[in-house]
Amino acid sequence: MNQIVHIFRKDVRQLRLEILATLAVMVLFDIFEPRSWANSLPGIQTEQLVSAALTFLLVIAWGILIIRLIQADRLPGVNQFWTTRPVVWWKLLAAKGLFLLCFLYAPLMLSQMVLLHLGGFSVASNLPLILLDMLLLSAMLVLPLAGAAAVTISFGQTVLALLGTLVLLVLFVAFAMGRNLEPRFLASLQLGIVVAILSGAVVYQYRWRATRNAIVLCAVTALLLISTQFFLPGSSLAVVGYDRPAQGEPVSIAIDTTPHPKGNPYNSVKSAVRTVILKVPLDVSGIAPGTSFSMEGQKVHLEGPDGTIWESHWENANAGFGQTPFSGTDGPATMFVLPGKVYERLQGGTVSMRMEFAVAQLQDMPTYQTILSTESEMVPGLGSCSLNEEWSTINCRSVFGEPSNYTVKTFKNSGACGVSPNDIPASGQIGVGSTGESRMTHGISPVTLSMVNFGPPGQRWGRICAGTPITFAGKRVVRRLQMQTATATVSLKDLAGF
Amino acid sequence: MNDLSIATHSLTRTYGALTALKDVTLSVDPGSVYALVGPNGAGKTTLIQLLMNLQPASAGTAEVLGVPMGEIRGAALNRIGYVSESQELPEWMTVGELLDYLRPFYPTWDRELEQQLLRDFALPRERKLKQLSRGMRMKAAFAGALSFRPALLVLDEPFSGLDPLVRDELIQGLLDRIGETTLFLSSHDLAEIESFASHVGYLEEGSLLFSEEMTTLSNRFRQIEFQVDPASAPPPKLPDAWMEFERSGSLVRFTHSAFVSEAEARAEIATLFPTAGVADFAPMSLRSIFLANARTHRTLRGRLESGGKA
Amino acid sequence: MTPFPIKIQPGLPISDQIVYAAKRAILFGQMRAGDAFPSVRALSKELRINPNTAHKAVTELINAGLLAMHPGIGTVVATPPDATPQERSRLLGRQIEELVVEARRLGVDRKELLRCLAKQYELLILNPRGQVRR
Repeated sequence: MNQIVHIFRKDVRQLRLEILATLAVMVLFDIFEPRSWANSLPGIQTEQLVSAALTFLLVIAWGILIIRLIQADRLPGVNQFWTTRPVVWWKLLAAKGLFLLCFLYAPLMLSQMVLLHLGGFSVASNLPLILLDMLLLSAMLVLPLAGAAAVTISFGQTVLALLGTLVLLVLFVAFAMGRNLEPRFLASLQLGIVVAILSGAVVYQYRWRATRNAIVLCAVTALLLISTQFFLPGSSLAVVGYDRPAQGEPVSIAIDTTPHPKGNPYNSVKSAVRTVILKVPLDVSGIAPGTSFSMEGQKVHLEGPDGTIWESHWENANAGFGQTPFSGTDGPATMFVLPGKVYERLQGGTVSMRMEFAVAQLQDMPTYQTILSTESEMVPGLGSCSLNEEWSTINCRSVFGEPSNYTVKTFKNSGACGVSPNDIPASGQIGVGSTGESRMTHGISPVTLSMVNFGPPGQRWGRICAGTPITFAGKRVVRRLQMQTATATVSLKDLAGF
Repeated sequence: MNDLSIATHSLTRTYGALTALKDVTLSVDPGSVYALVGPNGAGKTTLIQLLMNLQPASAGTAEVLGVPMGEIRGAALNRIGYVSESQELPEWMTVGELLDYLRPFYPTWDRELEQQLLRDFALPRERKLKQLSRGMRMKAAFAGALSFRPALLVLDEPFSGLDPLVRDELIQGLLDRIGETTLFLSSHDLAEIESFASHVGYLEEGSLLFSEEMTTLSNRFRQIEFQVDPASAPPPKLPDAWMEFERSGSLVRFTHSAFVSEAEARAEIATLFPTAGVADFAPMSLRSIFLANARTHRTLRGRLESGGKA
Repeated sequence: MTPFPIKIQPGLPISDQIVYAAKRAILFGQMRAGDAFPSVRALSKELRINPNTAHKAVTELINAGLLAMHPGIGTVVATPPDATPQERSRLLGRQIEELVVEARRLGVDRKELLRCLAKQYELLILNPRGQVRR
């Protein structure tokens, strides 16, 4: 007798209703999701609300399914039905896995393939991303829920345990929202920790039914997650992957000490009590044409005349304020946050300052020119793009994440097409920041929506008439470098803009 | 001996400072019916759960059907049946679904026996387990444990809370299996099991006070009464085997736990009580033996706790 | 149903009780030669006892010549050997012992005891014409 299939069939009979509910929500999701792609005008559409609600419902349905599945054959305690019958522990576990494969992973993968196809994408070439998404789903939903269900004896207990874990998760998110630069490997490391240790805890519990030890393993996973999020960002590990520049590297960054008009609106006397935001003008040279630099991280070293030394952690560049667009007269600059007490001590007179940067060197890609209509067309790097209903902007659908940053240039018409001329030059951005890399978003829908953001209002509302050529200019990362400035003497008061 | 159904060696189970089982050593011959008795909280359920590998032992070892108890899992269980009133049953299944689910796990499952048990126990195949009364549920559990003709059947308080008719039906079901199956059961229903148990083990506060054949046990316990001169002095010390010694006026009554023959007992009495009249001997039911032991132990404990001499 | 009167008392060896009850019934004519005797299995289920105990009792009865195994038919009551009066009264051994002890306790002497016995016998067993009631 195939014990695995036998137990699987029992579970299917027992969880008929849960399976039906989950698949029903999934089908609804598949129906409503493509409708929410139609238009991504700013403002929330009903379809997008419905889509979001269905996503939430689906996660709840899966949660219930997973918990009820694991607890159909409870693990802790001495009174379970199966422990005094000839049930082989790993066959029981395999039966649960088979169930999840059939009623969670397979329907989801099928959904995603259908959605990709409807979005105009090739299913075959995106299969690896689909599988990666399954892994992420396992780490974020299936394994934590299965782990919690395996060490508790009732649905209520499981929910309580998960609520307790939620508190830890809030801690995790709080640490993640800091200013520190995260190592590039951090997400993969955390994924690996969760998958390895949590699945180990589940297997351990099925084999030994030593609930207390299994709980310890789950707790270890949570602690490791939190401690990696607390200790690793900002440390020297944050710049793993950023190489030191070779000899004769033409690019250099220096701190610009020439006097600048005071342009730091971020400080007020009140805010200066706890922290002070300092703006450091920079002198970047040696950048070859067709390349550009994206600053990803920074580290500040200050030394006062009395020997006081202050060093920041590796932070997100520009103190996390993002790449501030510079107005006219200013060159590149970066901002960093200084604790108020340190500022008090060093503000008088001058200090020695040097900075380190973690930068990505970007290469301009050849521009792509095409004509778009309200029908979708594939644009390399951006996915499936089309004009929106009002012909005022361009919507793109990409696979499993936002595309990298592209600059979009075209000509718009302030009046009616065919009547007035297409003479308004329009330029906008689409995609993630300026990192030159797409950002993967893990989710249930494989399709991510982006929209071109045309800058000034005049450009925003004009029409892109039929047949108007549109150019897309993007960049890609060629390498990552750690760079240092020479030590410069500066006055903190100047930088603070007081 | 390799073919003992169950053999334990100094089994001990502690929970922190609490000792549930202490140095329990017993053995169960194949084909016998071993009744584990003792007061509530004595450790009977703990012992059974240890044998079924539901809990780990703190010290000591045991073998069940030759398999070390720590390895009782998976295929080792296809010859062992287990019924406990506190074990969960899949409430959502019907009686028929339960048996259909269990059947493929056991190579020795006998479909005809299954049908017969359903008839004998009057179990409705189509009724869900959660709709069944307590007695019916136990019968369903029994059907699931008997149908595969186990070599060993372990029962933890199988008759607890059941009406006499259900008890009778279950005992009938068990009687059929004696011989092929070794029975190991813990029970408070001493009257019921006395007639078909072949061995008795008495557990008190985690220790096995005695473990022997039923006939030996019945043979060595007697309730004894005799008359004495009310004015006569009591003897300095009574034999250890004399339990629950009571004297009221001219009547003396006690329980003898090491009885050999009436002649010997009479001689013993005569030595201690020269004025004793003819003694009256009455055999004791398992229930009376149990009570005598339990009450004696409680009295001893009470004396110890209040600082008196044991 | 067991074809002979028996009530299992706790404390005494069960097989002995069965043997005693069966012997009584056969010797006193309640079961005649050729009557079917319950099988071990039926006996065990009827009396709610261990089949091994039932088996022991039956074996003992067969060895005593009171039962016989006939292939195809089962266990039947055998032609009992003539029971001497001494043998019969030996069956009453237990009751007689109890009676004597009790009489002594109450202070009833031998003569009085025998007188009571005879009177009781008359009342129950003999009819007014002095014949034995069945």
